[in-house]
Amino acid sequence: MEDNQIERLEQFFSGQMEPDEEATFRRELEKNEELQNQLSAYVLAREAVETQLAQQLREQMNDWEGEQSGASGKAPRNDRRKWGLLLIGIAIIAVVYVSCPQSSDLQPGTKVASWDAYAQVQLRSIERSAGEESSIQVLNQLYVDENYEAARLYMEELPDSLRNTSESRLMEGLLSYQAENFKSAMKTFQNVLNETDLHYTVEDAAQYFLLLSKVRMEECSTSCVSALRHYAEDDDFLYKKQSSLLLNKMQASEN
Amino acid sequence: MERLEHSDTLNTEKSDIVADICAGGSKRNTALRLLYKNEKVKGSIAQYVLNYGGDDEDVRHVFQEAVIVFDRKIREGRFRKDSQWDTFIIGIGRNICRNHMRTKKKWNSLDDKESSKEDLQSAVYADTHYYFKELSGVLSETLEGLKPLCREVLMLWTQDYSMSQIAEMLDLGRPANARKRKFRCMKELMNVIQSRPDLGDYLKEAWKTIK
Repeated sequence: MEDNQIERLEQFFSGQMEPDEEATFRRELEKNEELQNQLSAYVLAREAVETQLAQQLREQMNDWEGEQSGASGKAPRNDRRKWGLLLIGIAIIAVVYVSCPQSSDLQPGTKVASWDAYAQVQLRSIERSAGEESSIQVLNQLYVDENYEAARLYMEELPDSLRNTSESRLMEGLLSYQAENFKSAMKTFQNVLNETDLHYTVEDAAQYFLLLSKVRMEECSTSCVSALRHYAEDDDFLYKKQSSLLLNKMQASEN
Repeated sequence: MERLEHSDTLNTEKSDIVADICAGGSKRNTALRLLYKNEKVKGSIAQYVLNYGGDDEDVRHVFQEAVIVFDRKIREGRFRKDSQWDTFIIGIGRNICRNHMRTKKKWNSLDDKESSKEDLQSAVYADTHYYFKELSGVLSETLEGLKPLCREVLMLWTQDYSMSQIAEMLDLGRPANARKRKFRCMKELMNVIQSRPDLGDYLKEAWKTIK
């Protein structure tokens, strides 16, 4: 099925067709069983997303209820979106780090000034759209500013609601990585990946940084290299570009 | 805490809940949060549920379902602009309460082996309710069959985030990429649905719901 056919179903479903176009569509619908099936599948697909959205809203409302019934005002709430923003920040850093042409020695945290400025601008714009300042954003900023020790101390102050999440554990792994404690980082990333129901931003970040840690430990075996190759070609992998650049670097250093 | 709730209630009154939900994205989230904290609306629905013999848990359930239905009806343009939004959601809450309490009563009465005419009607209603609840479960499973990125794209799109916002949030580059991805994901989801034999009956009938 072509994109324009889905667009047509979408316009009919949401009542956005011009009257004459809608009349034509309805006539076609009465006769064409294939079109009926496509429209039914479209209706159920929309219902599936709505069902999921309702579930998400239910969870959000339960969170808001908890907020009302006595969470201490200073503690930030577990907000996946803000963790998501942090991970976008991490993704930018990963781009910065791997794509830096001068940083051939793969040292953590090595960056080029122009890329750094780019990352800062991106993050500020993300924070503006996120609205109010939060502890997650502070942590985000500390990480981007490479204040890893401060970020580590800050993390210890976070309430359990924020610390007991896969996102938080990922952050611990990243801080271990930045402290060049690769063994601990690998173990943490592996533990994150063993968890079920991971958000894709967390899963992709844990996967990429696990492989990166293995490269740093010089433990990137055949399976590690083939995983990187796989990710370098996977359009859905958030660190596709970084994986590709990392592979190129590895090949260049071998030569 | 009291001061926060009071201020939230005032904000709900001042802001245009309907316009903000229609605007989608973060405006919708803020509007729904304020709506959920609106003591006036919640109180009206709670009173109705309690009069019907419900408890606190029923109040929570009915109010949450009312917010979900209200949000969807607004997004789908099924709210007349000359109506009052608070009257609208309270009306939704009352319908949900009636259905919910009938369903609950059905199970209690079956336990007691009673079978009055009213119970029978409640039972029929409850069967319909659970039938659709079962469909929700199957549909959720179909969404699980997609890649996480696809799920996220479709969820954000349904919440009326713009293509440029989706592209930015999911690191997809240009808005055109987000749009392309949305079509691809929708196509994938439709394929998953069409491959489910347990949805066969619905697939024959669902198109008729659009009239």
